[in-house]
Amino acid sequence: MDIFYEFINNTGFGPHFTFGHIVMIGIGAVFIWLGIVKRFEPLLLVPIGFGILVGNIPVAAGMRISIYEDMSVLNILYFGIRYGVYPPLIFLGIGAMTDFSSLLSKPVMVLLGAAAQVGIFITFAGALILGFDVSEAAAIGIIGGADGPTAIFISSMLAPHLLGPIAIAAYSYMALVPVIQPPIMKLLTNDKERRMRMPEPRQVSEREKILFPIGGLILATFVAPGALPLLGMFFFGNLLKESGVTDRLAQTSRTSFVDIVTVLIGLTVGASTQADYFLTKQAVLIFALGAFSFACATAGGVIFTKILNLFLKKKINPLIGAAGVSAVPDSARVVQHVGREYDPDNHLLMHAMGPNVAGVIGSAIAAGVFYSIFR
Amino acid sequence: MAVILSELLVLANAGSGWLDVLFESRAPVLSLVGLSAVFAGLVLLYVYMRLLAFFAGGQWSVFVRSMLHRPKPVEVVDEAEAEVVEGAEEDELERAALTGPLLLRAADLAVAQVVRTLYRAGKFPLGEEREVSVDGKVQTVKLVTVGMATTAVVNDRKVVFYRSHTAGSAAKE
Repeated sequence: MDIFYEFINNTGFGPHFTFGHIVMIGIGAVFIWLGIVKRFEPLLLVPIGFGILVGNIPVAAGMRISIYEDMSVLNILYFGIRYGVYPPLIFLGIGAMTDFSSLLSKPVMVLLGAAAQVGIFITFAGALILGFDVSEAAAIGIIGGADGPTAIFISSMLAPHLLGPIAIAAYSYMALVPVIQPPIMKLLTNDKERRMRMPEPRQVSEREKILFPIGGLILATFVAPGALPLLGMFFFGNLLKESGVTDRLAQTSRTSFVDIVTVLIGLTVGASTQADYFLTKQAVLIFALGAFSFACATAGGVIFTKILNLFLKKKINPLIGAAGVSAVPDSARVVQHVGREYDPDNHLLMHAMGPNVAGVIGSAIAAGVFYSIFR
Repeated sequence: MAVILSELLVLANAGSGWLDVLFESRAPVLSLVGLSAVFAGLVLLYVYMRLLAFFAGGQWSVFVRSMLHRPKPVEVVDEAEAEVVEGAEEDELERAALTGPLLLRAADLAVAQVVRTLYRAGKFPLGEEREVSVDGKVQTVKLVTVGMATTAVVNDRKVVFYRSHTAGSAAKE
């Protein structure tokens, strides 16, 4: 009979089972539903959602199964999150996918990528007011960059205990870009501005594309050395793509390699959201601050574009400012979609890609600055 | 307005003291420093990109040529005072015609070249119809966008004269 009781205690229905596990399994199911049925970033939400299920199966302590138990399989895979290894590897893949042509053809767009980072710093201040310490506030603020890997990287360095909620919030808001951004963009622009057309970008030479990642790395990381792991890999991936002599490496970096890391990052971030660690007042606050941060970032980009237009001869469509958040290429796609709602022949996608990739660099620099100050 | 705003802030602060918390934590200073660093980094990149465009993007050669030669005037039947011709790369157009899915006809080449030059100089907006005279022959030209490629409609025939680098290929008509 003792063996039977021991068996029952070790099943998911044992004393370690809580209502929180059911709630988290429900959240995991919603993520999977959003990914598969609603097609919101399925490559992110399906692995994260499934990871939430994996992490919230009630398991008795001491079985070396839980992600937080030393040397369990999940714990070993979680190493890449805990020590900030996966985010730079993701950045390598993103770099190998990124085409800087649109940014190089109109360099002023880089400023829109900087403006959208205002959300990070407003939320940083907001988190301090709500009682988080400076390191935690910095990690929470980065959610406004709408850049999951950067948020994971900086929270693993500054606030590892908040890693789960921050990562989930960052990836959730990345997936919800098409839902969150359009109302803010429409609120801050008028009909005439939304219909504004922009001239075709100039063609960019191969030499410019090859030289940009080299000089870009040096300049950006001299300002924010803390961003070196992210920007180093990002620009390296881009050089592999643009050099024309490392096609195999670039091809692998942007396909199988980034896919493998995405699976690992998604699954382990999801599995790290165990009910005991995740269902807290802090997590709720982080989600609220994340939404606020993302809204501020979008508004910051649009408003800055309108201000910039006061000084420019060739005006920029203010919708493009919203692409300054670094959710690549989702926010650029949203700009294209909203622009075409008002003028079906207005193609803003290639213009919006400029601030979008600038946003990736901008949020990495912001993370680097936080890391330099609060490490 | 500023007085009302500051009064409101003081009033709002009276309850929870969030304004005191904000300033005690040095959040405004830290945020300002952080945002300035982001802007500084990206402004450096902006300057770098401008330099790249000038030296590596071939703008210097256009600049030098414009210093050495007087641009060839183009007759345009319009009030637009277009006179920028230098920099139109005929060989590039011909190459595009040979390699891309481009409906470029030999007879339209000269018109396309002029229109593209005007368009790049900002003197020929999209959607506008104009009469352009090249070598004494007046032709009606309208600029439209087909897919992601800018297209000049010359005498009702479509000529894709610029292929977007992101589009990959021009739209076939």
